Amino acid sequence: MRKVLVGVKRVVDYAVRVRVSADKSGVELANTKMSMNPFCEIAVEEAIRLKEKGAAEEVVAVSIGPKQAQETLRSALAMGCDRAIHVQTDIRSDQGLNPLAIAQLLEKVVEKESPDLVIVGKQSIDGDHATTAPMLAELLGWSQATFAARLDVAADGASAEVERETDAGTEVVKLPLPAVISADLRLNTPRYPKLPNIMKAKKKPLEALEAADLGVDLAPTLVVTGVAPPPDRAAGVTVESVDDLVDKLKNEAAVI
Amino acid sequence: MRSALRRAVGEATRRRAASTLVIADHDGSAMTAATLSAMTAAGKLAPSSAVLVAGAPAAVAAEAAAMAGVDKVFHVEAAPSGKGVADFVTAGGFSHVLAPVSNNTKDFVPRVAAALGVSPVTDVCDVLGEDTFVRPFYAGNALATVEATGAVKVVTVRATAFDKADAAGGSAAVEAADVAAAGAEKAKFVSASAGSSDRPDLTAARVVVSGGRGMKEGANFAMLEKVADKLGGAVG
Repeated sequence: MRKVLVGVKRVVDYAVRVRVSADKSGVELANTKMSMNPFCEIAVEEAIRLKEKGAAEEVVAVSIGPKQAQETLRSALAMGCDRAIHVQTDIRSDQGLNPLAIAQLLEKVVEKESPDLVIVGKQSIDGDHATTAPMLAELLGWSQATFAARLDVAADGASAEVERETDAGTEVVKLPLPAVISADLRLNTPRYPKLPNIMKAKKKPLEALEAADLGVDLAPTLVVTGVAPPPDRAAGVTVESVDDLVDKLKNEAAVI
Repeated sequence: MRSALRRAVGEATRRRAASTLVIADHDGSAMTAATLSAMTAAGKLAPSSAVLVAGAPAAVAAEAAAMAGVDKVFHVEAAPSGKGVADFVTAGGFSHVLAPVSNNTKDFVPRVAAALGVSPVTDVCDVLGEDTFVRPFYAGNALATVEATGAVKVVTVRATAFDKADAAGGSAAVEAADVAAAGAEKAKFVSASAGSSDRPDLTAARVVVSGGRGMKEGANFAMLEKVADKLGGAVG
C-alpha cells in the first residue's frame, strides 16, 4: 500500500475524573488534562507497524479540532507518522461536532490524500458514539471492519484480513482495499515515543486546513441541550445469611 | 371547556404521528433478546412499529412477527447495504429508525444513517420525546440530553435501559421487502470463534453477578461463576 491515513482525536485524558459544569451545558474542560484518545493511539501504532513491516510507504495522521489538536498530531508524528493534517475548528469536539460532519470532513481529507487504508479508533472516550468508521466507509462506498483485534494486509495490498470482536467472541473477515478499519483494544499495545522521535516530530510537516472551508455543513443536527451527572447509585445491602440472600433475590430483586 | 377540548383534538391530529421502524438484531440465525428492548423504546414513540429483518432467514422474521407491538415485519434474506436500508426507510416514510446496540448494529446502523444524511443518536438510555433522547458519554460519567433535529431520527438503544417487550403473543404479517443487497464492499465472513462461555451476553443478561474486593482473591471468583450458573446470569 502506498498510504495509510490515521484519524486521531484530542480528548480528556482517560484517567481524569470528569465533572459536569455548573451550568449543566457540558463536561468541565477548563484546566483538564487532554491526551490522544486511547483507541486512536492503537490506530496510530497499527499504521506505524504496517510501515515498519513494509506494507505501507507513508502514514498520514489527521485530527479535527482546535489549535491544540496540533499537540496530538505531534504525538502521532513522534510515534512515527510521516505527515500530519490539522482540520481546524473551534466547535466543541466532545458534543458539538456531529458524527456526520466528522465523517464528511474526513471524507474530504480522503479525497485529498487518496489513502489505501484509513484506520481510526473504534470510539472516542468523550463522545462514545462509535460512528466515525462506518459512516466514513459508507460515504466513501468502501469496505469496513470495525472492532479490529488483528489486521493483516495481503502482500499485494489489494485486500486485508481482520479478526474483529463480536458480541459472541471474534470473527475473521476478508475485505477489499481501500477500506476503513476501526481499532479495538486488543489490536496492539501502543509504543511510548522516545525523546529523539519527539524532537524529530517537531520538524515533520503539519498542514492546517479550516473545517469551514471544506464544503461540509458543520451546523449540528444533534444538539446537546443539557448534561447531567449519572444518578447516584443506590447503596448496597449487607445480608446476614444465605437464606436472607435467597429471600431477597426471590422477593425483592425477583431474579429467582 | 369545549373549546379547550377542540383545541387539544385539533393539535393531536395536526401533529404527524411518529412512524417507527425497528431494525431487528440477529446473529444470522436467531433474533437477539436485545431487539425486545428496542421494541419498548419504539413503543415510547408510537403505539406500534414496523420491523425490518434483513440478512437473516424466514425463521427470524417469524420470531419478529411474534413480538408484541409489531404492526408488520419486512423481510429480506440477503444482507442489505446501508444505502439499501436508507432507501427503504425513505420510501416507507419512516420518521424514526431504532435498533438495539450490539456489535452487529454498531457496524451497520451508522452506515444507514450516513446514507440518510443524518447523525445517529447512539446508545440511548431514555426516550423523552420524538426529538429528545438521553445518552451516556464520557464512559457513563455524564448523561447528555440530545435533541435530534433531522427529518429522520436514527437511534440505537442500550438494551439494559429498556424492559423487554413480550416476545410472544403477536401475530404480525411478514412481507417480503425490496432492499438492495450489500455489494462487493461488504467484508466476507471467513470464520468465527465463540467466546468460551455460554453465559448470556452482558448487554442483554437478566442477571449479572459481580465481585470485588470482598472476594479477597482471584481464585474465589470461581464461586461467583457457580452462582451465575445457578441464576442463569452473566459474570461482569
